[in-house]
Amino acid sequence: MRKASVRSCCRILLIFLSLLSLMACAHGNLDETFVSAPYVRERWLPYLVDGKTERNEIIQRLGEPSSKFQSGTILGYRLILVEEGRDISEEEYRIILVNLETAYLNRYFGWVDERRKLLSEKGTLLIVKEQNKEEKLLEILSREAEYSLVLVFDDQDILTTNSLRRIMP
Amino acid sequence: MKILLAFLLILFSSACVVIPTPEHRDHGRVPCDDEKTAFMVKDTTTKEEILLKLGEPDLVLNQERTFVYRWEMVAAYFFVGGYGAGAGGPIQRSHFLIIEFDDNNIVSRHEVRESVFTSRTPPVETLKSPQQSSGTMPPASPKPSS
Repeated sequence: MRKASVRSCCRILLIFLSLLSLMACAHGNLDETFVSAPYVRERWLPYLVDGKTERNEIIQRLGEPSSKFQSGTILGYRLILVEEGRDISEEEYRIILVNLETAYLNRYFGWVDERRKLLSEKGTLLIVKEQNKEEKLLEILSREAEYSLVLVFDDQDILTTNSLRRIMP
Repeated sequence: MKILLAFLLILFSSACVVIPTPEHRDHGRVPCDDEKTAFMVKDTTTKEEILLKLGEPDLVLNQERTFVYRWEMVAAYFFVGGYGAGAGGPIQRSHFLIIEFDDNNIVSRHEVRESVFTSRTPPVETLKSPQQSSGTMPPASPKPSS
């Protein structure tokens, strides 16, 4: 009788421990590789070279900046990482939002990691400006990451310093 | 009598709990906290350095004389429970880093303000220093020229 109860206790303990290890497996850390500033710079902005790249080339590639400072010697670009080449539908937006919410709530980031990997292959950096804020609202709200690119030019319009900061999330 | 009893039971079995926590980030902008702004020195740091280290500000005022950076931290969690239903969530606290520059684009003042349990940006007037509020500064421009 006693032996049987010890055995059942052991069984319960074993089940409990396996459940615990399963939970530990399910709770992962977010993979930041594909959204880190160094990766994004190398993937989408390799042409930014201090002392070499010209202002015109940057504007040609990126478009008009989100903001200008000190009479235009400093340009600011607010960039968001989104799916390339198409506007997302409301349904897609809702799916992204639900998946993101679920991932952060349950601390299981499988879906987020997969999206980040996919964006690294097929995504793009979209410039957010006053002019396109409304038009690109769904893209802005469902962005995977947001960056601030600041470019400083000399009086010859050559890039002297630049910095790319991830500001969100 | 039974209905009244049931009503009283429902009324008194509902509850609201607020659990304060150490401030931590959930979503949203990367905080411009002490660690990130340690490089900032009054009368020394330039606007260029600020932009390169902190990125574009969320608000630009007074013809680029004032920058405002805003971020949110979770300060507590609330839980509301009633008969057969319940809800809960984080309570956010907004933070504002306000930086002012002099005529030579050098930092002349900086401070962090917290807005308790509200995500609303404080009125522009309250972000200005006393000198600015007295009308010695140029008028506010909500966005940098683009």
